[in-house]
Amino acid sequence: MNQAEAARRNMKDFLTMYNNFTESCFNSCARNFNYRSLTPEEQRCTDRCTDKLVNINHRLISVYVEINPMNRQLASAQETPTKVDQPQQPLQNELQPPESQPQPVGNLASQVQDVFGEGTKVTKENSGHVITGGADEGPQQKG
Amino acid sequence: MQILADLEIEMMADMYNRMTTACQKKCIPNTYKEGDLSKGEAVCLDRCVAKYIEIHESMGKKLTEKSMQEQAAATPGQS
Repeated sequence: MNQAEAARRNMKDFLTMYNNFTESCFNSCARNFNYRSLTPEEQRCTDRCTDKLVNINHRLISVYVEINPMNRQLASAQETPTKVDQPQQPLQNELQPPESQPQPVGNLASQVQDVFGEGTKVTKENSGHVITGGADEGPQQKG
Repeated sequence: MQILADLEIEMMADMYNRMTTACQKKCIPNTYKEGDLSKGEAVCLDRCVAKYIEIHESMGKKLTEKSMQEQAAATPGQS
């Protein structure tokens, strides 16, 4: 049952993403309402839009997966040192592999700034980890 | 499968809703001088729906192509 549920959720997420993409690309690319079918220019625009959105999606997922488990790893690293997987290839320039020793928060802050941009602050209150956004709110977690 | 059919219906309804908001934004100015649709607005709406569905279909083909490519790339990598 769990597997069927998970598969259904995955499929639903994929279809929702599909609808989001269609809407985005339509809003950006469909400009010439003198014709019923898509002009060649609009078709090219749609192709590029699709590719770009897919790449955006991939990058967002990989970055989020990098950042999110790091917060939890920081919390668990307070108790016992743990080994963490190496970050993916494209991100190795920006992120360094977390050490097994508990890291000072400053290290995480600089890594988050690399990804989320200037002005993003990571503060640690009590045992919680709160990321306050710069331009837009980053993910907020309380551990 | 029944689940897929249900999902498809749900997603078609979602697509329809998005399409109506998008086409309203593109074709109908917000001034609302009268209740009836002018000819230009009606024609614009026709074409808007046609374009939206065309984009929907071509994107669907592209996305399934890409996900099959990814699957094909992932499978030989598994040991």
